[in-house]
Amino acid sequence: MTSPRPTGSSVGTSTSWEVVIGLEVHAQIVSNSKLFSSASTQFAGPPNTQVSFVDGGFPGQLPTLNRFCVEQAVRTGLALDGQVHTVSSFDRKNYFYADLPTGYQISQFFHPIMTGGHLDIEFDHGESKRIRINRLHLEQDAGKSFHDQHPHKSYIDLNRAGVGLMEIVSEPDLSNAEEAILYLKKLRSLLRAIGSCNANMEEGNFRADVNISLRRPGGALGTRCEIKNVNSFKFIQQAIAYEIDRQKTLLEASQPVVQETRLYDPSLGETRSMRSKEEAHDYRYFPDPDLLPVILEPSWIEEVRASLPELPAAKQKRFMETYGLVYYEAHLLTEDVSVAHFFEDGIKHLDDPVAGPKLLSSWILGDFFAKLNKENLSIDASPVTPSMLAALISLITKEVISGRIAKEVFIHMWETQKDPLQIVELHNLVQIDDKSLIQETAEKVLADNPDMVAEYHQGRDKLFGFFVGQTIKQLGGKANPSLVNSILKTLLSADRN
Amino acid sequence: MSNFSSSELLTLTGVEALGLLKKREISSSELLHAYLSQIEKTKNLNLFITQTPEEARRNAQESDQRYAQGNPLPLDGLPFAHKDLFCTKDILTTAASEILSNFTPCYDATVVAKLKEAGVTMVGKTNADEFAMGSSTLTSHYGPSINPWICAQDQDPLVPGGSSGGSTAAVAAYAALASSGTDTGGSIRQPASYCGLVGIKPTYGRCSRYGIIAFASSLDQAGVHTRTVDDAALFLTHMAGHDPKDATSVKCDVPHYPDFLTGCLKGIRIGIPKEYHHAQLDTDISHLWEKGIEWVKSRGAQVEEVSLPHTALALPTYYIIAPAEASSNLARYDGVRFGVRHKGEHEDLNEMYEQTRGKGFGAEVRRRVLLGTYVLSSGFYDAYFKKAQRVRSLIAQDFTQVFSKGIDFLLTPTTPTPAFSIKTPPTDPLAMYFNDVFSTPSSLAGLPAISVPAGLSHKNLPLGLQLIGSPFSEGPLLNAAKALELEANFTPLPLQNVYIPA
Amino acid sequence: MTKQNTISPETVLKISKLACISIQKEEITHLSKELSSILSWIEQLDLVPTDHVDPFLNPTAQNFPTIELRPDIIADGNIRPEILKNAPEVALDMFVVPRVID
Ligand SMILES: [Mg+2]
Ligand SMILES: [Zn+2]
Repeated sequence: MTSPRPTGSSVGTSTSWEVVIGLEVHAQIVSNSKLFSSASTQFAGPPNTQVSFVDGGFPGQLPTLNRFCVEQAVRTGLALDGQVHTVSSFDRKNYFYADLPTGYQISQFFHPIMTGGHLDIEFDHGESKRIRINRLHLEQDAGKSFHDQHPHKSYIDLNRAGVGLMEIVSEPDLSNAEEAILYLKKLRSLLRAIGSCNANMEEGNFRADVNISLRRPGGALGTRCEIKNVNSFKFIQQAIAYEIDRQKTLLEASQPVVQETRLYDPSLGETRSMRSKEEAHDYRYFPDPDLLPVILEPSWIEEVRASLPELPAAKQKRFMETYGLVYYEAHLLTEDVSVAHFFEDGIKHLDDPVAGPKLLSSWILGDFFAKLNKENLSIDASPVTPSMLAALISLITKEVISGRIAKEVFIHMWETQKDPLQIVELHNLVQIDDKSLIQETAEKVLADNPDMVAEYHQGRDKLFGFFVGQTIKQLGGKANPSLVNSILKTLLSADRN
Repeated sequence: MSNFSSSELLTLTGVEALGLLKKREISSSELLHAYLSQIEKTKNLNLFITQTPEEARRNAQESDQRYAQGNPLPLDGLPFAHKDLFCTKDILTTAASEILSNFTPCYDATVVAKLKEAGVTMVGKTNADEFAMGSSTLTSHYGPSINPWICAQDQDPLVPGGSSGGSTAAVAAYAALASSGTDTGGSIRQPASYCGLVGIKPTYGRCSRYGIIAFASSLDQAGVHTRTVDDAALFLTHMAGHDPKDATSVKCDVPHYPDFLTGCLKGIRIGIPKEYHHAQLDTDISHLWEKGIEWVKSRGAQVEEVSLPHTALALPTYYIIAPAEASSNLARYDGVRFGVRHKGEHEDLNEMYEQTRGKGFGAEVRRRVLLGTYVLSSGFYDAYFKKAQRVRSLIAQDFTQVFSKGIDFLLTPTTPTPAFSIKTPPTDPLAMYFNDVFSTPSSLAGLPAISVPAGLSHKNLPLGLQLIGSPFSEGPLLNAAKALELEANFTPLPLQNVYIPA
Repeated sequence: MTKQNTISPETVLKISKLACISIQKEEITHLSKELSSILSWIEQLDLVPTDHVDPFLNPTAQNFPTIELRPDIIADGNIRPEILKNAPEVALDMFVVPRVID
């Protein structure tokens, strides 16, 4: 979902300060084994079961590079329209931390695999803004520390240590929390579309660090702070809002903003300085002597490019052009590949290629999504298949049932997974198109409510809906609503005359 | 039991021993027995950090069975010692450091595994400089090893050299038939020279580094110490080879090195790098070098002077790159997953780290880690580390140019002096580092190099000559070494002359 | 980039913190002198111009310029007892360390 238009973070729209935000996203690569070892990357295994001696940083152990992780990074780099480099290499980022077994993280500092891409974010009203991407590089994840098991000890699980990450660094092109969230959602949707990252914030495989500073409009960039690992969209929004206020207060009191790493505390809704990180932030990067450069054939890069699936932005455009959808619908349908897939799967089974797609779209985004949400199901686990939903839509476009009845059929279909036509027949829900029967019933409704008819003629137009409703109700809900409408209109105008 | 006396058994070369084993004139068990007794006899030389006699006896019995069944392995039953930098499954592996004094790996280094598969019998893990940082074994947490050679006049115990000093002293003292070593800036060749042995460091990437405790990853390379060139060729054949577990190991076939050993140098061009005529070169050594030139000529080689203009920069380059890589490689010794954690209460994790590493590492290791940390630190990286990497390219280019002009090998001294006294080693780190002056250039270039025992100093201490080859030229290089060996006619330390301190 | 061919006692302290190596007060002056003398010896590298020389990474890259890639298969891990075997302190199948202060 898109968020509302820029609101008011206290400063975002103020004329006195401009907010400058850059995002560093750590996206966990979808792969079987780790970046530099053959241990499994599976989520939530028992502690220290997915650890090899390489991951544990044991003496004499050496890293070996996972081909598929490189390919995933290349795919992502191409999808972001960046330049994938034929030569990249690995460097060591040296620092001591309990969950970093070797005492250094293998990353790509000097020669990343990709530089210079972009991602276009779009606002509700269809305007868009290009966010430049500085680089994408490969690196390994750290393990996990638990600080709550013991009053003065920390416990370390290395299952995650060594899992491949793509660090995707944006330029400071974002101006407020809303844009930051739009960017992250857009990126998430892209990564999922190409399958290089599952991008679940809750599982920690899509993490964002926020760099934020304030400046006078058009002035030089201010000192930035980095907020580390904010693990939900809500917290990102809150952390940015807090940080803007904090920095604004400092600046307006002519106090300096200190360049530092800060941590967002969701329970307090505040960011605080991570002093321990500051002291030791000389990472002493140098080329990893255990790993040779990665040299990619340009022809192979082109093969990968050709094998990329249709990306969300292109899909959205195509949905609008091909199916006559509006921006908002096309956007929602293409944000998640499995939704887009569901939609296009349904399209294939429609009877009416003109009215069908729009109706299918509104059904997916309406009743169908509502039901999924209510039952807390993912689209892949839906009991209603694309062909079933398409069959239902076709019953509406062929005027076998009304949209109203369709809602009822949908519920039956959800529960029984039966064919909609079968449901319609079983429950005798076929639409009543018999004009004389409808006329008869409508006349009776008008005759039974003379006061209302009088009020209607005095100008209470709204009562028309009441007559329609009553007529349909009398016919067991099955009357063709457009016939009911036209017949009532005729009767009432004749009546007035 | 055979007719061979224990001293006859101990003085057999590997090639000779294999011949007798195959003919079943001797058994693996009795060969091992002779070595285990000698290990016992020489224990005051402090050659081993860990001895493994039980496993060795078991292995020797299995070896004898294979001989009895007529299907022995290529090196079956040869008593071998591994430098304690090689990880050995279920056997203590310390890197001669206090910080690893309780570490038992669950894996074998690839070189260890390959030699095991070739049938060698491991007798133990030898002493070395701590994390291979040194040229004397004086930096070992387990005390220095002592050179079995001694100067008859002053009876002053000598260092065996380093860092593979325990390994070379063990072979020289007949406590192992051959031993593994690692060479980062000369740690195989220098101690081989000090102990009167052959020591070969193959091309970087020839032997897998998997399971070898890293000192400086872009320089470390495994090799072997033996009493003869034939043995070196034999053992190296079964140590080298591509390993998918080491991304820097080379995918390049390993020939059967003994096949190269004709001793003929016809058509071979040998270069004498003029920059190696160092002012501080011991006169005994410069005389030996001249003799070496005559010897290779007499074997048919053409000798000419060549220039490696950046030679003098190798040592300072090495002392930036090696400590820098080491400072990072040794960060994993933090008392969390293995090794000795400093005892006592720690306020927080950082204090535990600092105490563990401050107490667990010896003075030389700390000095190098601090130096390495400094040259990589913010603001100094370009001026020191990157500069050194650029100079390293120049040093490598010097060699490439010489080889591209048709020079096959370079002949130089191995060390600027013979072994020095344990009691009066150089106290200035720089003077100590000078030991590696002739070995670091080829290490930086990743080239194969071999030290061949070639003569004695005026105090009757062994001296070595070094041959350096182009990448992957180990076969022809060993042949050139063979030619030198034949001409030098060097007599290894007689068994009865092995110095054993009281 | 500026070089200084002396490492002051304060710098010794700073790098010992970076390297996580405790040093005794009485060692500092000595280390400062020793490291300084090594550094000034290293200064000789400045004599050779290297602006147009590429940095050297690893000897193997000279002849085999690109890294060999590994297939993405699970062939390691599931060895928890071995992973924990050498650890100084273990609880709940995890490594235990003194509290980390963020
Ligand atoms: Mg970052
Ligand atoms: Zn990162």
